[in-house]
Amino acid sequence: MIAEMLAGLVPGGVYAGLAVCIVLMYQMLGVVNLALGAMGGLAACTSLLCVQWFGLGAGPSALVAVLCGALIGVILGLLMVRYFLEASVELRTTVTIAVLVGIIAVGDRILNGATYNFPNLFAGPSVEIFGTGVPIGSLIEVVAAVLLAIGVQVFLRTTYLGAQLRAMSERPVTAGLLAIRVRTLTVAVWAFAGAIATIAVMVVLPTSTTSFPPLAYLVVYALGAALLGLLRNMIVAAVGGVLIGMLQSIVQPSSIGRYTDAVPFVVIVLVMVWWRRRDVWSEAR
Amino acid sequence: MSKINRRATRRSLAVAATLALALGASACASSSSGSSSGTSGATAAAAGGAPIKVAQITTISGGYPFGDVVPGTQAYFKLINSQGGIDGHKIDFMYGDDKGTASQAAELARLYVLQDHVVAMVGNTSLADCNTNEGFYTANHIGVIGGGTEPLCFTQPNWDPVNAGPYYGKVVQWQYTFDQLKPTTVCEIEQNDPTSIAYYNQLRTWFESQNPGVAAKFKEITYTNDATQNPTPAVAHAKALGCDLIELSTVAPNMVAFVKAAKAVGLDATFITLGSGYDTSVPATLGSLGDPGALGPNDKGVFVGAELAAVNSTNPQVQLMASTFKADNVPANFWSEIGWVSAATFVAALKEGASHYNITTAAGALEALQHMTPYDSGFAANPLDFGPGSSHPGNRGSQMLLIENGTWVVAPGQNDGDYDVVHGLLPAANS
Repeated sequence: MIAEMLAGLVPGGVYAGLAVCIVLMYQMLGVVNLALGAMGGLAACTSLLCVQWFGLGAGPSALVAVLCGALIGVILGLLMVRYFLEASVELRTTVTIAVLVGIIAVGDRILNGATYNFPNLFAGPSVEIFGTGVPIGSLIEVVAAVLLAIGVQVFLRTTYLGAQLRAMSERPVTAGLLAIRVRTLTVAVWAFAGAIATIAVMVVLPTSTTSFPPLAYLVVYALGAALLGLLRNMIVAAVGGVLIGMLQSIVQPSSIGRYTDAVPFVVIVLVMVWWRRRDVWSEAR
Repeated sequence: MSKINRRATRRSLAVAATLALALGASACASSSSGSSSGTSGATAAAAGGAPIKVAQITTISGGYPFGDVVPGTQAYFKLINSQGGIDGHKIDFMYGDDKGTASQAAELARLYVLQDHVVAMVGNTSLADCNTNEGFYTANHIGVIGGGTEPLCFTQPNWDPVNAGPYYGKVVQWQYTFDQLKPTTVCEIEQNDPTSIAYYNQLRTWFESQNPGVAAKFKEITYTNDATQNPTPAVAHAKALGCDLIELSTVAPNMVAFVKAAKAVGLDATFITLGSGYDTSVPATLGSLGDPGALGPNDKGVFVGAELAAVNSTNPQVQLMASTFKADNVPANFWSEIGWVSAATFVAALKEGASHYNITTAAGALEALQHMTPYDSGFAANPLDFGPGSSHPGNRGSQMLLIENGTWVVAPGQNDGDYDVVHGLLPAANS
């Protein structure tokens, strides 16, 4: 049981990183970015191209990939501020579905069923915990995701820029009238999320299957974690991501292992029911 | 038009454009992987006798990378067309991606047979075709030669697999494991595939009854969805159980992921997988991790039961394929080999039957297949034979390969020369 739980830190770290970004984007920009995993996956693929085509080492390749992730974020951010600045949350989220489909189409062409040697962002010996090796990258990712969540929440609550970002998410037009640089900040948040998503995906890539759709759909599991934080609390979302990863790892080798993919959906349903418990139970009464 | 309306219209257009762009890109990707019935330029019919139209239904997208079957098939037909075709008839080849879905497999079969009037299906390697189109192929006299993935691919009259398949392959895997590798504890990590699990379990019980003492060594079966799940929990579980040999039934990219995950969690074990894991790129991708002993003293290496000969075999027919693949830039792996051998078997049958049957019709092509002389492809443990029977258990062996010094080599100790074969037939699947 302990070995399986610790193994869950590998996927859990990715879910945590992506979940923090989902909450961040929802809170700041009013969009549930369903293309987040695909953005990170596509950018991570550039690290592979850097190694194969230009012979770059793991570090420079990873840096290029993270910059690509930020660039993809910038492009999508510009698209959103140009055409969807005042659109509803539903419309913006729908646009990310279109982006998701488009990126999967491109990613499927890059990762087309061959074997790949992705550069390892945190190469090094695994850390032995209770007799089980845990990749150092996954440990770093879990800790980094929680620290990121804490840092962003503190930043938003205690700094002037954080206040501007919160104002922007509530009333973008009003914020613009108050000389807050809404467009610049929106693009910056997209770029930040793109970079973080890239790092999150890159950590898990060396020991994961290498077809593109699973990378894109990592966001589904992260969304379950984000919902644990009710799309508001990044720290709970990060911890939730780790817990979902651990839960999946415990379930996978068990007799109900065939239903591992259903774990986040069960979590989502339970959270939604709990979230709306007062409404539902009040009506029932 | 007011400014607000203009803005709303502009936004709507932008949404529409974004969706169109995304869907367009998606469609492009699908057609590139073969969902459209594109005729290969390399194999298009030319002047001479009427072209022989053949088609292929393969699962290209959806997490199972069978897509290399297509260029493998194309490469052989291109070669044959460059030599004048079959009895003056060039081959017109088309293919489609069923995405592993029954509805798409059924639709493609009807498109090719009823609309394009193909005479046979060549190279089909699909998760859905055998189960979906059995009755349709029989009713329309369509013979199929391809890569069998499900039990029904091996037990219907019009469908002849060139590969040993996961079931003979699995038994060979067990034979070699217990005869040569002699592990103390075996963990199996299986695909979560409801169509095969029951038969695997039946086979395991049968194998255990044939080989006393084996049952105690099977420690655990973990089911994974390789295409979507991280392999780390499964190997961590295997480590916790003390397994010193891991049996996989997966494709090459996932096999690489499992071995890397084993290294990450500190699992010291030998890995052995089915022929679907054979890809010439694996040794380079694994690097020193593929060498025996890389995971620890229990690691006797990374083995694969190649159901068709290794690309570096000295057999002239295999060498012809290797040089053609190199010239045509076709990846050399289990899937492209299936395409090549399926096409070669089909051409051999039609060449032999051209003087007796009208090979430009489905019925004539099927008769040519049913009456072919067993074909020594150079790739299989035994000659391949379509035959008139209700099933075609042709290829009953695998060539066990092992990574050594950065390349696949034939593993020692096989029971039939360079192959490990199953003597006799497997028990029929319980319905």
